[in-house]
Amino acid sequence: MFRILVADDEEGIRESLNLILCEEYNLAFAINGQDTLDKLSAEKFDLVLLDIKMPKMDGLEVMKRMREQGMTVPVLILTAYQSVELAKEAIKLGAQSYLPKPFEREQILNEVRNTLKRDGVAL
Amino acid sequence: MTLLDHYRLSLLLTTAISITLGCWVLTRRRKSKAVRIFFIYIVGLGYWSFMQAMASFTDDPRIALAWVRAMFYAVITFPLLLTYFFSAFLEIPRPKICIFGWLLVLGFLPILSTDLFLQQGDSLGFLSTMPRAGTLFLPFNVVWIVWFLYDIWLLGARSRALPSIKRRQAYLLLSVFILGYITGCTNYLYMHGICIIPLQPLATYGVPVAVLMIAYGIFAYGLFDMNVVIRRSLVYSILVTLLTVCYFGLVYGVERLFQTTFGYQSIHVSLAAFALMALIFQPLKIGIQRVVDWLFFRAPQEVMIKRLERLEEETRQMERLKAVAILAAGMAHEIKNPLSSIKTFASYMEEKYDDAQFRQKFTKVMQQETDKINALVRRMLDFAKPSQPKLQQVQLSKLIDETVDLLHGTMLNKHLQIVKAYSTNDEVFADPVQIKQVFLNILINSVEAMDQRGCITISTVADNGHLEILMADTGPGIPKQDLPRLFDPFFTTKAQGTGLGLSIVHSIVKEHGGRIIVDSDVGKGTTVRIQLPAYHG
Repeated sequence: MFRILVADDEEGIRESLNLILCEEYNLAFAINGQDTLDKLSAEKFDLVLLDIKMPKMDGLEVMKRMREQGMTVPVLILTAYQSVELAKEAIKLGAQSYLPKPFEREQILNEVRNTLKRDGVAL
Repeated sequence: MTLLDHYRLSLLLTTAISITLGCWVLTRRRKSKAVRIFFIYIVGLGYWSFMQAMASFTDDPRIALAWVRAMFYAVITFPLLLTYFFSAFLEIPRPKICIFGWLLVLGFLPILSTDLFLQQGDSLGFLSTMPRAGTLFLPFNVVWIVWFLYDIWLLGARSRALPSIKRRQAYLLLSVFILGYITGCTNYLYMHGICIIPLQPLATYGVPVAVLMIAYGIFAYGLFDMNVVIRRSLVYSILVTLLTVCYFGLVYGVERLFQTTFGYQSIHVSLAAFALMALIFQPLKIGIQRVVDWLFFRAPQEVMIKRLERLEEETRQMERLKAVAILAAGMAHEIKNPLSSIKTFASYMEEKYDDAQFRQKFTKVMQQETDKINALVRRMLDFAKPSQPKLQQVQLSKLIDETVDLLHGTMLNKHLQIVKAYSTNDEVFADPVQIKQVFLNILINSVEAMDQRGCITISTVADNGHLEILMADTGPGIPKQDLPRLFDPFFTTKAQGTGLGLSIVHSIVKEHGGRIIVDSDVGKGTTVRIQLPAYHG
């Protein structure tokens, strides 16, 4: 079973993603930017669902640090900001895709499946 | 008074009122282009009337001719100046036809001092001497009048499309200039050998009346964007000018009466008349000011204060709503998070209804997320709705956090970082909504000034009975010359700014017994320091 790290400071979002993904994937949760980096350094993940707006360190900063540390795990960005600039920046930093909030469960499932497939993680 | 006296009085009255009004308007609105052109125009008008009056004082036809010729060097430019004035008033580019106008002026200039234009004349009607028209005087009159009609068309054709206040001002200007030119033009008739008694000398009174109508326009329609305080001083200035003219008129009248009764002049009578007028001048001025106050500015002081307070509150409310509009984008983001959770859980409701664990989580999430939305909306409403100032014990760090939360979305969009360092005891006695408005206005300025990836540092320091809040940004900074004007109402460097935000900040901080200092320099960022009295139980 693939291991996915869900990084969002909002408990409701973590609970929602857990509800959508828990049957197909093995999930772990991070509550801020630093926590995300710590968890990524501690164990191996197949995918990260990363929120942009988080306290202490935002999602874009997390992605930059990941690149600096040579982490190549695929990232799906979650955000309530529908800003083209932000999307461009996230893709530039290596994000696979960009999911706007509020999201549909099917949209999440499809994106996760496609990303895992595209990156050759899934069979 | 003889007709000649009426003629001179109407002209000298025009000189006095024109120069007074011109200087008065210029000193109050020097930066306005329309005012600067108006000043040149009206001073030119004063010059015209003075020269015309001077020509009537002499019995020597050569001297009269010299005065009148000198006068026409100003008169020749009047319709062209009027084109400039109307264009500035309408805020439209100067018409290209002005170049042609200048060519006409240059064309007539060389002949102004020749007999082709005006020649030495003799007595006419009540005037002992008056120059006569040369061959080119009539063509000049025609060109001059046609150009004036073009000016009237220029303003008249565009008046209808103007906003209501400006339209009224335009109609007033049209009436003023039509009256002024028609009555002023009767002076041309003398040079053509026409003197219709008593129409002509009395018609010249139309010019000072027209000038007074402009003063009325400033007073009643806010012409040249003059405010009520400035307008009041205008009424006084005009009254003092009129009184001064009447004063000299009366002294002159007493002298004349004495001379016609006793057949000789007496220096004692003149001095007595001066002394008498000087004695009654001041009380009369004060009395007239009182009557003016009562007639036009009747509202008692309390009513005025209340009006001012209401106006200030309305201004604050307007700025608050402007801030709310800026915050709306960020708030939409905050609401989307709880909405995502509610939507996801609702979509599983049907299939997982029998799962007790799901139902338990569902209830928890629904409550938690709707509470969040509720809190967000309440926070926004607290800020947006007008409220009576309510002083209470408040924790500054809490107010700062709430304000920063409101701006979170906007800051995130620009990747701005925020660093906070609070003093352990940061309680003040203040109105939380007003203080939040202070923080918000300062933070919005910082956020708007900074490019991507700037940093805002907020700290509170307790110091000697005061609490100091420091808000420092890494923005472009403020030029030294702008610093003293930062808190002036309507001072702004932003294209869309009202210039009221920091002025409101200043008045709120002052009302709370505090003070605000801005340290900044170009390229070095800006630090705003607010000191408020600390709360001592």
